[in-house]
Amino acid sequence: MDDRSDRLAVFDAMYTAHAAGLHDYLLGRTSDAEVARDLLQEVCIRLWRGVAELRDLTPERRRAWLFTVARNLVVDFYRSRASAATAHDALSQRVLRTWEQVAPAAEADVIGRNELEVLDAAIARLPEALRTVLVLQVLGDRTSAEIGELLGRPAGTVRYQLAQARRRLAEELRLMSGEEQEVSP
Amino acid sequence: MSNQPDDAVRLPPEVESQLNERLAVWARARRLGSADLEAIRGLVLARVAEPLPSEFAAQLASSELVSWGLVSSELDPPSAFDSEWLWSLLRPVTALMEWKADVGAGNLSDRVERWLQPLTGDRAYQPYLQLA
Repeated sequence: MDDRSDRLAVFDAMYTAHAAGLHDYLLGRTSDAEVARDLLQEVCIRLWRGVAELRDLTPERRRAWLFTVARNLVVDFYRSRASAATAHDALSQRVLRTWEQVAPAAEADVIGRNELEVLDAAIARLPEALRTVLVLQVLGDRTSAEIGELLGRPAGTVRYQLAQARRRLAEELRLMSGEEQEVSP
Repeated sequence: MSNQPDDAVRLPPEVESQLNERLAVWARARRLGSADLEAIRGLVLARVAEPLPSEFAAQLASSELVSWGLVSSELDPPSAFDSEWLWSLLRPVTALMEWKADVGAGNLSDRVERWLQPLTGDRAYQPYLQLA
């Protein structure tokens, strides 16, 4: 397939079908909105280069190919920060700094931007496996079965992880046991 | 592992409601809209656009690089010089610069660095960026 218009047609069809899902997956894995957008670009660059081989695949295999690329790019991203352990420490430190910056504001009557920062930080503090299923569910309104297909996990496991993620997030946000902070819009 | 959340994991209804409300706020801010998706598509297509014009490739590969303030020690060895690679870096920078109003100028250099790092590895790309 040398013709650019043919390649573009396949690229656009796959981009339309999967870009949002890929972004949600990348955001769930990295908990960084900018990094997720940048990695989405990288996935799409590889999509462009691989259009010829992807054209004849089934939709399921196309999706599997894209999410495998995305998963590998996340691994590469963390490796590029010297090592996975170092990356995790750096991420944790960044999250902690963010939390320290926003926590005082969260104690006041805040909504909007500070609310977003509080939620970003609280979601980032979730374990990665829980965070990923939660982000895929919240951003895409996906069912447990759909998330399970994307991640290669049984739907029942996803349901359980979603419930765990929500409970831990509620605890992070101090919604449990009367610890609620007033944040109503 | 059970396939269903047990009572220890299930949230009280009032907490569920509050959590849903706050997650809806978060989702509205973090979900990619059609404009976001179109912007990212545009950046991707800019990065895979047409090849480097031959005259520009010759110019970049020539000694004129030195007259632009670059010293040879800052550049890759001549045998490693890849004009297509350089063009692949310079082209999207333009698109990114146009996008910086949305990104915020303060974050732009970080984004460019993060963007280029997987492509460049340890290669000396900073001198090339000056050309842009």
